[in-house]
Amino acid sequence: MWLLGIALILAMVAIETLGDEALMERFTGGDSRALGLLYDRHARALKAFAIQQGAARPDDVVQDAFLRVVRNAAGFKGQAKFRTWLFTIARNLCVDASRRDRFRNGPSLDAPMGDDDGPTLGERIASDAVGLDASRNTADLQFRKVYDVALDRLPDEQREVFTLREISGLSFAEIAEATQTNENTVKSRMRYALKALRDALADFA
Amino acid sequence: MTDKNTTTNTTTSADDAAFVDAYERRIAGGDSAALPAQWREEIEQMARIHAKIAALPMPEVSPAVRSVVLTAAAQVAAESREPKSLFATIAQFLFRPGPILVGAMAAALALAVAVRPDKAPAPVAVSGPVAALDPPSAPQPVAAPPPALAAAPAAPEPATEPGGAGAVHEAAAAAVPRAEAPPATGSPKDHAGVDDEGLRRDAAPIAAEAASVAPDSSNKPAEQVAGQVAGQVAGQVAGQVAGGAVRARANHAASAKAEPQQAFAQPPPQTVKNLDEAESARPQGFAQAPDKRAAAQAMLGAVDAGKANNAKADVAKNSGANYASKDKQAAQNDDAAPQANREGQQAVLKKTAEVKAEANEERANQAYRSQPSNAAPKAALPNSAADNKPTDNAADNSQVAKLREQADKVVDPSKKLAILKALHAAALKAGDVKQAQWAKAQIEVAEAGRIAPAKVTRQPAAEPVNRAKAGADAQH
Repeated sequence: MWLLGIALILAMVAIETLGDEALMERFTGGDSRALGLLYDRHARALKAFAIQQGAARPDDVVQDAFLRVVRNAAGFKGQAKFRTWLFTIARNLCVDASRRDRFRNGPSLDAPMGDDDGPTLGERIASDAVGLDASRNTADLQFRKVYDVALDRLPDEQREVFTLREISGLSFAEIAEATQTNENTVKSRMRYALKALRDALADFA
Repeated sequence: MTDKNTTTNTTTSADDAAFVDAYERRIAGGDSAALPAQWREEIEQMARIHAKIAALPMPEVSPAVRSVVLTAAAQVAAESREPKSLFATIAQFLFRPGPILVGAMAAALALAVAVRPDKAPAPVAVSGPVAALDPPSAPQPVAAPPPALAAAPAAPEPATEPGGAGAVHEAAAAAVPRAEAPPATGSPKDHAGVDDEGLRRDAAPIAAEAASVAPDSSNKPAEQVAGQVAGQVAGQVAGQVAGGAVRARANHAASAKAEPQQAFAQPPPQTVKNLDEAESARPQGFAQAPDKRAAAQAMLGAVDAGKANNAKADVAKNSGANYASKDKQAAQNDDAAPQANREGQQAVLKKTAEVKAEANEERANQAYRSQPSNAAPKAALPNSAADNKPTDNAADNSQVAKLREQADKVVDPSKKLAILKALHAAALKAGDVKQAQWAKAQIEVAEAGRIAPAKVTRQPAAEPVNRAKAGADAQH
């Protein structure tokens, strides 16, 4: 009996050590646990990316992106990295959502909620997004606020590259593939994003 | 979405790449001493910022999202695990758009080849257009023919010219007493009001179409004549028969050129001595004429009930008349019958026209008598009439009454016809079904009177003809 338990544990460990592409291969072969592992690896980074891309409902982006992965799993041949594919899907979803929301009248993120001294809607969303609670120290909260503002002020291309690299962990080659640009352009955007953020966050450096 | 540093990027892309590579090496744990001196301070500063950013917690995703995704994944995984049978695999292969399209096209081609009339139209074909439009084998959803004509379809068909034996048949049919129900007038009587072969040729297929669209053919009085049905129904069924009619006309023209009026050499009118002979001499195209007549009467009943009594029917009627007149001209051009035959036919036609005129008048009166105050439902009217407001109806009703008085007073046929048409339109607009029906019937009588004006005896429209008198006339 204990041998069977050890075998199961080893099998679980073995599957968790597989790469993304190998997990996708197992999923297309009928192993739904493989997709669960892929979800656990990338869902939070995907949501962070969606937030930084300005998606109004980042959870919807995550769900839609993974549902597309499920539906199109048979078409994934491993020619590209899974992570690149996943974030390309998410990026397209964010672009579509941005186009839809362009004509939507909604409250301003900079408008204070409730009293004039209360937090803005953008601050509330940022706090909700990172799951902050009241006990979080003020320094981190302040850094988060300044960081979000600085990131929001970046040009879209620079913010996209920075988010994909720093938060989602894609390589520059993967970012270049996802954004359909060449790698040098991606690195240029990254450098100027770093420069802008360094200027904005110099007090925290 | 504009990159503010596009120019800079292009000029210093290699420099940027080197900087970013150095930054990447540093945050990956590289030694700061290995960094280029000009970027060292900047990279060190960015590395500290990077550490703070990396320390920020990642956002949590709702558990519901995970549940949804994993449920979908489990379904897809289960489907992919299911072993597919050979049949399922073959079915999946076959039921793709490509094979389905190819199969459908092959089936359509095979069907087209199977039903294509590969036989050239015979020069002595039985009444070209009639045979083409009204094949004897075509099913007719109508009542059984009267006993007097029941054996007719099985009889030999020596005559191929519609105007010869068909006219004789019409005369014989017209001579059958009206008291016998259903009358043995058959479809040829439908065409008795016209004195031209072309019109009669067209009337048969039109009557056949009326038979196909008639909802019921068993409840109409025998005295009702379906002569006008051909005109009324022609427009309604014009779309259905247009293709066949054009082809039939082409066939008819070809056969007429090949052997002009060969049919006239067949049974001369004077050789037909009784009804049985007339029936045996009836051309193939008229074989099912009684059925058509019954169905046409049923269609006429539908018209009486207000279902086909609208402006569209008038337009259809006109188009049918145009069609008939065109073919009439063509038939006249093709006609090379001996003059003797023609005179005999004219005599017969004259008699049948008289009978038809009487029947038309009686039908109009009967339609008027049989109309209860609310016979036709409101929905049967055109929408414009049904939707009129009461205030509009008051003015319209007065207009209808005024036109009705004029129609009763005027004797001149042309003026009366114009007034009747105006009355019909006004009645439709006012929603007065009764007046509309009456005007319609009178218009038909007046128009029939134009075809055979000598025999139409006009009576006050509001007074129905004595039914006993009509029966006595029919006995003659």
